[in-house]
Amino acid sequence: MSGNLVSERLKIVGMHCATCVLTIENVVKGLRGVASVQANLASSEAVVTYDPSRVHLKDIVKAVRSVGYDVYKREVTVSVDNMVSIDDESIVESKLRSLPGVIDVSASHLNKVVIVYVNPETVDAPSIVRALEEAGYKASIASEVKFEDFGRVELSSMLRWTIISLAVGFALLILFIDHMTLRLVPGTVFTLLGLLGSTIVLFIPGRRFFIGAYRALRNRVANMDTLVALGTGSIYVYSVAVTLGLIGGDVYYEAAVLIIAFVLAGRYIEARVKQGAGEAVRKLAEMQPQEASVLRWGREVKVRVSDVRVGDIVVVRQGEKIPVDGIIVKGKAYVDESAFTGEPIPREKGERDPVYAGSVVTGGWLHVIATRVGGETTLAQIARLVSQAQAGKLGIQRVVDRIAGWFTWIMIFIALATFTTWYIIAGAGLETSLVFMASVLLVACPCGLGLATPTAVVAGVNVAARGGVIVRNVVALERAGGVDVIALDKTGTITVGRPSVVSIVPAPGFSEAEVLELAATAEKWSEHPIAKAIVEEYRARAGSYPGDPESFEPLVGMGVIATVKGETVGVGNAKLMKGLEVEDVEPLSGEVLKLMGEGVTVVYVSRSSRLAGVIGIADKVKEGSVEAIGELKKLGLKVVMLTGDRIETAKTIVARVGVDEVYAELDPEAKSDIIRELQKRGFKVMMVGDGVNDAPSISKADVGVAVGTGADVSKEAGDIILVHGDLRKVPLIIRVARRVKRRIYFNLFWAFIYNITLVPIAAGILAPIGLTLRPEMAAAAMALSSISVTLSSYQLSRWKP
Amino acid sequence: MPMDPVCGMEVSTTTRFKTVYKGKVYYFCSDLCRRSFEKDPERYLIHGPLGHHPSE
Repeated sequence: MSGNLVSERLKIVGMHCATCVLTIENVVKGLRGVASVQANLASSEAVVTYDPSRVHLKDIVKAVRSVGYDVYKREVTVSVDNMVSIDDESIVESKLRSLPGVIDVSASHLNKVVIVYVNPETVDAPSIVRALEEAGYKASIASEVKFEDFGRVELSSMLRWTIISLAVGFALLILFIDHMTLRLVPGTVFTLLGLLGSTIVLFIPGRRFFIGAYRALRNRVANMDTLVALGTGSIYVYSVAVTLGLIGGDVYYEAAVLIIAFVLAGRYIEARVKQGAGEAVRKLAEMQPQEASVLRWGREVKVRVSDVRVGDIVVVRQGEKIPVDGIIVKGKAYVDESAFTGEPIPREKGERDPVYAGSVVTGGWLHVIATRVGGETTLAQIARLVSQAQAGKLGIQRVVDRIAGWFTWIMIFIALATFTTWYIIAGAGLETSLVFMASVLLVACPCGLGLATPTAVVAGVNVAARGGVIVRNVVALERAGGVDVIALDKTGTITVGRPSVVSIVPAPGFSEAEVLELAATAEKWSEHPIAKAIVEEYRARAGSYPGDPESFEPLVGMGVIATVKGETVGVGNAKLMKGLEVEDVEPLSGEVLKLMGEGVTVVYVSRSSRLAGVIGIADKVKEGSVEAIGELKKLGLKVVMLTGDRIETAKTIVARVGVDEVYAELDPEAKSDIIRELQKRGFKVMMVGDGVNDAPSISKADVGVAVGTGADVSKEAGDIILVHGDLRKVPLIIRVARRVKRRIYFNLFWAFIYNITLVPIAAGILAPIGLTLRPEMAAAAMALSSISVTLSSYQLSRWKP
Repeated sequence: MPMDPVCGMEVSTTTRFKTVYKGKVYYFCSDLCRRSFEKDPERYLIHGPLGHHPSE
């Protein structure tokens, strides 16, 4: 074994038996480059000794995860102020990845943050900051992603310098034209003004390119800055040499200045557009109000939102934003939740309904007891997830990054070859050869390649977020464009997930309303899901809660017996009816059989030993499910349903929603086996289910989508989360994903075509027919190319699916 | 406090083990007592607490 061995102590999650120890040891030992591994059950730790040049910690973690365990990791978010380009991103990533204890890195120059997943046993946040500082970056620990951090200040100074450079550039250009034609200005003045202007522009606004190039060089990479620095630098040095009389020829000061001006203008427009792309997250952050009215000792006081505690009663009036997640304890209001759900129509909410921070009360007033505040609210979690997703990288982008890395070196090589060819082989003279070389350096645009995917991803994540879909892992968004089977869990995904009243059949002499009122009153204090469904139905119809029963007796496995207005009321199954000696069940037995055939649970209601009626309870199909499944089929996808229920119950649902295939009587493990089977048949599968119970199959699928339950968003499994569980968002995901993918390929295609066409022209291949590209024109073309890529993605983020 | 009609023990009305027979609710100390009662309620109501049903 070669290289230096390092030891890493990993905290293992989920290790609870002696076989676990063996499983983990075996799988890790099987990796190339691992010298030894020792797992310890008592401390839930594993010590791995390995050769970092042959195996990365990430692979070890992956191996542990592949056998069903996980490694405890910490997420460190570092903000890096001067990480301004794609190139910096890759420098930062490779630098951090080489640190011991670092599992994975995801850097984004768009919001200037790096998310580092580390083994907390080995490395801490300050050492990550130190490593970045050594590489020449200004880094600081950011506990959370700052939303305003899209560089407003920097933008305005960038604009100022762009305008100054452009002004100087055009002034010099006019002098140059004069110099070539009328010669109103003496030659010496022209040269000296050129020297002065270009020196100022190159050393003040142009400084960033030279610093960037230097930083890249120190980390042994070449990037966009390298190309600009070499291009302008060579022209400038040549012109200074001519001015000093060291060599003969013309000066090119105006070209050097214009190059800087054009590239700066390009970067400025790019930054502006990107700022627009960060809009989704910023909008989410802006939805969080700053102040809240809280009831303290019976009085209403205004406090800062950060001072609201869990358990406080918050008062929200018409037109105000709800500052916390909570439950309504008093009042009634229309609440606009469009921020998360994309659903434009405000919902009516009353006592016991949950509300979420960032929603707006459009009518009425509410007293809300706070259950989640500050950074814990659904809104804050979503904002965090979205901004982390936007910092994530697509699979295709890793490839593009590698190409872009090589690309720069290749361009430097082509530039040198151009110079050599013109100077030595064609004997064109120093000036001409140098100009061609500079043009090649400046026209080459690796940034078009580099920008093509991240800008499209950010746009896609934004579009999705606006529709109430949280993309947690952008690779999943990429894969979603290529799925061909959608597996839907039944309970809670296609259906509401909890029982509700589907029919009420009164016995002769009773009315529907009477039956419901008797049942709801009797069940009022019961915690049973069926009881809740009955009470809820009553509330929905009558607009208020039923009265209190005089006595209430729950019987497990049978139902309840209560006294309502002096009479004994029974609500429950046939056994309860028998115990209460309710004899006249017969007249409704036909109805009962029919309901049971449809998979409906039948609840009998009796009053003083007489049957009052039956209530049918079932898990209703969600609003929009039928529509969503139809749309998915129209998109050319096969839709299957998975359920733990009996096949008979499942079939009644199938008949209503029209899925292609159904698999019933599955436990969570069996569901994930079905996913595997579908994958074996060559399908790419998207699984949509409950983020907690269906976690195994969601993580097994190529794309896992969790149907949000209003619980902790960040704790659910799944790469993509439907915030309010509307199945109609699934076709939206597919459409967004396909669109993003198309846009990425479109962007990449044009970036390649651009480089392939313009680089040879810049090199002077068409010089014999008189077509050449001056350096400043080359720089302008380059700037336009990256602007057009950015704009093309920006346009995507305006798209309404 | 009501009495478990099978074993004769006093039980609380908040017990999970209950049944209803001829419109009256009976309380038990355990599921076993309840099952015994449900097998043959009359036996316990006539003869008093006899202990578990022979088939249990």
